[in-house]
Amino acid sequence: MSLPWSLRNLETVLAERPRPTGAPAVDAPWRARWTVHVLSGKPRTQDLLTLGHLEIGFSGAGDEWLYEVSTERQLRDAQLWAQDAVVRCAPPTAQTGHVPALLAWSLESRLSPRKTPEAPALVNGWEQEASGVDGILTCDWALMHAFGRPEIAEASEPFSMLETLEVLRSGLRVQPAGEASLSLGGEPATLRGWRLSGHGVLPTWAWVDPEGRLVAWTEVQRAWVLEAMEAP
Amino acid sequence: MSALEPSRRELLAAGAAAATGVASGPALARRRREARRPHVLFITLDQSNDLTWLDEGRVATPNLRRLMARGTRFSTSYCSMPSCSPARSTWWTGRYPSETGVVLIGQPMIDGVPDLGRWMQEQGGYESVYLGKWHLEGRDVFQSFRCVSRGLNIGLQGDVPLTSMARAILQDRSPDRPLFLTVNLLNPHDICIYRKGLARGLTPEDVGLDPSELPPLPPNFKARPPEAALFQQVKRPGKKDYGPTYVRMFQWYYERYLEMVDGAVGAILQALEASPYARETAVILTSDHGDAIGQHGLIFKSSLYEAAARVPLLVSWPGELPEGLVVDEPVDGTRIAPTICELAGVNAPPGVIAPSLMPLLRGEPGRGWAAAQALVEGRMIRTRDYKYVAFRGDPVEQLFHLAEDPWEMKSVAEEGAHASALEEHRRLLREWEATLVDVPVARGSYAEARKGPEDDDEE
Repeated sequence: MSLPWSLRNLETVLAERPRPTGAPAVDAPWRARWTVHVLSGKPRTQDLLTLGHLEIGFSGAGDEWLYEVSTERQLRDAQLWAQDAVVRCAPPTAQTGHVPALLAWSLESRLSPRKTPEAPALVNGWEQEASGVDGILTCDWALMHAFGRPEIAEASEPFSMLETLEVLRSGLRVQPAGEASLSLGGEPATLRGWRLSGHGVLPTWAWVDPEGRLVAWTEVQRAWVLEAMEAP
Repeated sequence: MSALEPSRRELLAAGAAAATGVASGPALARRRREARRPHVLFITLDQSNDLTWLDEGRVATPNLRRLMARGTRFSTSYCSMPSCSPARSTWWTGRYPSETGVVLIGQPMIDGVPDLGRWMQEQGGYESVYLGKWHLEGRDVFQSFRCVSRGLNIGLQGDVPLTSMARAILQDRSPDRPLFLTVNLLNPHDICIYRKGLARGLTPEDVGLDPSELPPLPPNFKARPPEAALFQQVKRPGKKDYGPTYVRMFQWYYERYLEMVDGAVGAILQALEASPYARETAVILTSDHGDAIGQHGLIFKSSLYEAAARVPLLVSWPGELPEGLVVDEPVDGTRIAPTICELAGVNAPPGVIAPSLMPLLRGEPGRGWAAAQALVEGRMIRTRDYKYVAFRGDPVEQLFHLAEDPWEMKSVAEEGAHASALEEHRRLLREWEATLVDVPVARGSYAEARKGPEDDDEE
């Protein structure tokens, strides 16, 4: 059986990239790093252009989950746009639509020359509490975590998402997208898929391995591919 | 989203932006005592056709619609040329592409023509700040503006950082110097990337769509009015015969890209509203050109049909300019530069003859026509009821009676009942062309001017 379309561009990459070894227990802390690639339509590793990275550290306790996030994106003229965020969420429940619900966050973004990221040309930062949005609100980073958790199977309520805590996307839904078998770091594996859709997002697939790791998060143009995961 | 705002508390303001401080008390009062010279926020989209083509029930653009509601929408607004660089050269100069030299992508802008970035700084004392795509050969954006970032040629990846930068600039700026901030967002231009290879053979099922979710074909999908030979050569080579499913998928993705950029616009407007300058800032929003989105069996740009040539144009300054007004007078991209100058209280640069939009905002009558160019040799005149298109040296003329045929199903150029309208539009075209100070390349042929592939999905 052929691979789902959303994995075809990544098949070689996933086969060649070493499989991360860390596997977090449910609710245990973890730290993971993804590489952001541009998809060219040619499923070869050398055709992937790297546009940035995303690193998320998770720790959860009781009624509050905490994400420490660092991202960077390459821009023109050798510029780097980076974000550091601390995000507090309520754990997924029926009331949160089975996705982590944003409670509050602090965010700092920096625009820097790529060669001297320590000398930003522009810095922007604030902290904020989530209030005033009708319905369920999450962010993409917390949602990425949710795909590896059991509650996501129940997610059916539409929700809103603050993309990188900057831009609101609304009317989103998560649906199961079946399973796919492929080589992961040279070993056979079966991934479980979820499809995210809604206003202001391209259809996006989350592919999760049997250990609950989000191996790939991909749409028509871009893919986040898991590089490393630590679960102390 | 605005309801998120009250709890925001600023933590940091460093670097170049922070050095200027935030307005408060006396400084703000001093600004208010000055003549009503607003800050100007110029937001541009890339490849966004006029929003009224879109089914509001299917496409969520709440922020663009909010901006419409709090300002004036020019419902009959055209780009100066449905191609990125040429149309952009008009924004910054108030001149048609045949006058700036940018008659195709890759053609450099001529020297000696003032651009709005420097003009606003030198004549108006504004701080001209630039974010995003520039895409003009022959003019260095870093010379014309304080260019903070040119973003990235992928809107998905670059537009959100631009909104963040705009937020920083709006919130942390000096109260003592007016700001001319342009934010050039890239989407829905990513539809070009979608088309490039990735969409080849893509089916609705591949992306989890039920075919019933796709937009319907536009009513003019199969319409083929007589067209100039050059236009057909560039836009209708045999390989570009798009089928119904392809077009409907294209439209569906286009709508998602448009929603994406709507979110970015919303974030910028939210940042403006949270700043001390919300009521001291005029916002102008437009797009460099539209997208054919399957109309007349075409996709992308370079066509003077409505979907590719007509663009959104919104002007808003709450409390100072009309809110919720729709102006139907035909206008084009040359009107933007003189409008910004009038708002800023400075004369338009010498050689700019296009009138400002401000009289129309005051309810005064307009001149009754707009014009556009395409593919070096194509010219368009739009009046209230008609659109006339002719290519130099080509016997095919198009005359659309848009008042009765908004989808441009049929050219009436050969119909006796419209003979006087045809003559009138020929005359308007001649008179308009007589006012143009064209550069030599604009007087030549498309083939001579073309330096590289004038492909629709070029950046």
